[in-house]
Amino acid sequence: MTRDRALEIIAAYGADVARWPATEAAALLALADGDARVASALADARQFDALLADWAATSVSAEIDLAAITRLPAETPVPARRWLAGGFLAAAIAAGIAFLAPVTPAADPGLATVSTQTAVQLATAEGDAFGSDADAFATVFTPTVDEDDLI
Amino acid sequence: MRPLPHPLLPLPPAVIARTPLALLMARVVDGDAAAFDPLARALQAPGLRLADRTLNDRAGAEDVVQVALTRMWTMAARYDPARGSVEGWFRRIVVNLCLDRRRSLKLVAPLSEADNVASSAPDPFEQAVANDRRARLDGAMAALAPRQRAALAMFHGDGLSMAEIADALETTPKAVEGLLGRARIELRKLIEMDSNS
Repeated sequence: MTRDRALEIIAAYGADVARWPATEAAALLALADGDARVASALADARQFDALLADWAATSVSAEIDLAAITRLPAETPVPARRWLAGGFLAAAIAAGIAFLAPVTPAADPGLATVSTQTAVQLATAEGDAFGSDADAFATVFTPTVDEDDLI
Repeated sequence: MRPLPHPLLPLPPAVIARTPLALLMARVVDGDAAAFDPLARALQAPGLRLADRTLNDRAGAEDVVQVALTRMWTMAARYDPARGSVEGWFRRIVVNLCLDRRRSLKLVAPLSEADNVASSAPDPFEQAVANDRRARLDGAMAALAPRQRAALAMFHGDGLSMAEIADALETTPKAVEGLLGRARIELRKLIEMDSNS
């Protein structure tokens, strides 16, 4: 514990040992025993603490109309969730367009044989293996339980 | 602990009186006005004291607490218990409202106001000295930054830790340490200047 640090602690926390950082309290007290400047700062801080405690503790009261407050409509979390859901859907649509657009049957029929296991297969030369585009979209982007909950 | 009845069922007053603030808040989030009343009453006095000390303005403090409680009701759904206690959340609302208000009003009370505080002391001498000391402190407080006053009020009035004050002021405990240190040094200087003038 240096003198500077001791003075810093006293300046910020005052003279109440219980309020000092626990890891530094013992060292500060030991220093104050042998350092007149630290001891003096401690004595000054003690007086100042009492003044500040008096200032801070003075009670004030007011009559707040609580009934008027509870008559106001409370905000519900629904709008925020709708925004999230909207954002999710917008992102999903954008991703879907980017994902499916380059592999339409008319654009490249040969891709029909590339894979039958991945999502790319949704657009095959034979047409809609999964029915309409909406079905394909739903198959790829069916929300998980967590996402569903989010929506 | 026994679970509380369903939020839609009214709580008996005796149960409400023993219910921790966190549980009352959980019901307020569900729109339970009966739970809001005791919650607001528990938070009102410390909130008012903090606002009064931070603003140095009694009427302004009442306005702040009214608005803070209103926000607590209307924005209850935003409260996240994982991010801290109800008291801490409310304190943060109060402090932010105070600091916003000070920024918009830019009130500065002259230190000389302290000279005009009349003594109502029954004991002529001792009480007059105490009043004079308190008046000088009030005058010096008026010259401090609201953030400094808020930190002093929370540390010396409410006995909050550096971490709790940091949470209310949305800063770090180390920064609060510096804020308090500078506030106390500045206060001393202001009081001494006033005494010498």
